Amino acid sequence: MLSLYLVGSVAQLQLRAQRLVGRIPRDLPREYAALEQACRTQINAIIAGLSRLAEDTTDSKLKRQSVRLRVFRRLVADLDILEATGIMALTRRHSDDHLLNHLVEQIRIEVRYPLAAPVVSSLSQQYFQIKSDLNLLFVPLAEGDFLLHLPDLYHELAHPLLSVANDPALDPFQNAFYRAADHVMCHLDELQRREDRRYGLKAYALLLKQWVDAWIPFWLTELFCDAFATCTLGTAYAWAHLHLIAKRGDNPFEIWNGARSHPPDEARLRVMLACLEQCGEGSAADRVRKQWNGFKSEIELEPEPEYQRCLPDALLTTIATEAKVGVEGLGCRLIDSNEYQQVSQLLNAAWEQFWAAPESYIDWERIEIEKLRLQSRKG
Amino acid sequence: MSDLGLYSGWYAQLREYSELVDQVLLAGLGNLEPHTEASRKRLAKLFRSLVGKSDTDPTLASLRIWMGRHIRLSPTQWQMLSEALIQGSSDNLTVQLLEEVARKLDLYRAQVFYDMRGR
Repeated sequence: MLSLYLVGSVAQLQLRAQRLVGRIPRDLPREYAALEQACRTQINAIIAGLSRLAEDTTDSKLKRQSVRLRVFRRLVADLDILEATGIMALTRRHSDDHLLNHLVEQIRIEVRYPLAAPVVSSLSQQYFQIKSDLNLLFVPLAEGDFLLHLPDLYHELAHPLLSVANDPALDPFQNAFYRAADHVMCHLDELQRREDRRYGLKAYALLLKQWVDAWIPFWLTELFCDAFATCTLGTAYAWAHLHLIAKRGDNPFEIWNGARSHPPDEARLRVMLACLEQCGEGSAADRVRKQWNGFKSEIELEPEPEYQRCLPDALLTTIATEAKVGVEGLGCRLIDSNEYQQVSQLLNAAWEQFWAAPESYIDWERIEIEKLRLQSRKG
Repeated sequence: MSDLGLYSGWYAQLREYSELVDQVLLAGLGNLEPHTEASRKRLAKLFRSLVGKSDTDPTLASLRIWMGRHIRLSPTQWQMLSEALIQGSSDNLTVQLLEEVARKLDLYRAQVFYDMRGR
């Protein structure tokens, strides 16, 4: 049965892959060249993989049908991802994206970001997100009309710094991540040894298991990206995070939901504040902390006792310290530099303006966005 | 704040190792031809690192943690698989164990794929 199924399905998937190549527009601007090439290369690799799978039906090596099915599924997944990201960004590009692409290129220069700037597409259905292997950054449709969430661009830029392989320039940041991962594992091992039985052995063991599964691949990655954004942009990033917590209404101390890919928001904020302090921005950190405390008293949520055990201050401070060392090792420009950085200053100024005169902020923002648009058209 | 960014590095690693195990299974465990050597060595190293702390690659920390917790092989079985990959032993038990590793890895890869992409 499986052999027959694969004969039909492989042929159809090959055709689908070819159709996707056919849909790539022929008049793309130069800034899309790398993305287009990456998409073509990946699609060709998928088609080659499918051809091998089709040819191998009579190969004695491929008596293992279970293996053939897994190979097929991986190729299906590869094409699905490509269709929903790279190909979609190429076929649905919009003139509005130009401003964001200009902005990200400016950030790259200002920060001394060690990789090429990603292509930005305003087609995100899930807030800001980046696809590192295609160097493609998605932002929500209207995000280019506003400034207060744009600090999250800095966070997204950090993801490829952790996931791009075989680039010695990225070693300092990646090695800092591995050192921090060792600290996290030591902490979790210690918790395991001192297993708390107040909630019953099974409940706590389950919680610990969820923490172990989430900490290294997900939480630590997010915290490092937060640290990169804070060290290179400054207070605006912490404000943008607070803005998101306030808008979304989630529990910022949530640790029981094992499906969460992101660390609790409060822990993320603590890493940001530690980074600000380590970068000599203690008074800015105090201002954010004051607003956060005010917000906390309004929402009337407090962490459970396990929360501090999972995310103690000492561990988060160590993570912030390691991440900052990593960012310095990349040769990136930190916020304590006195050099003029247009985008960084604009995003920080936006938050100062927001707090100083919230009633007139949107008028101020409209003018600044217009100036940016004019500049991006010239540039 | 990105789910795609967050999952894609992890997904790429799961995909890569899932593919490596299948390549070895396809080539046959007893096949020691040079073109399979790199895949075998990488897998053997990963399996060996699940038994002890020596010879650990920091880039594989997440994968090591995940495999240790979710693929329930004993230290002796990991060690046996690691040696089989180097020596080319292909008895039924070894093949079954490797098939079990391949199945679990690819199942989790598919799960992460759906987390990343949405259903």
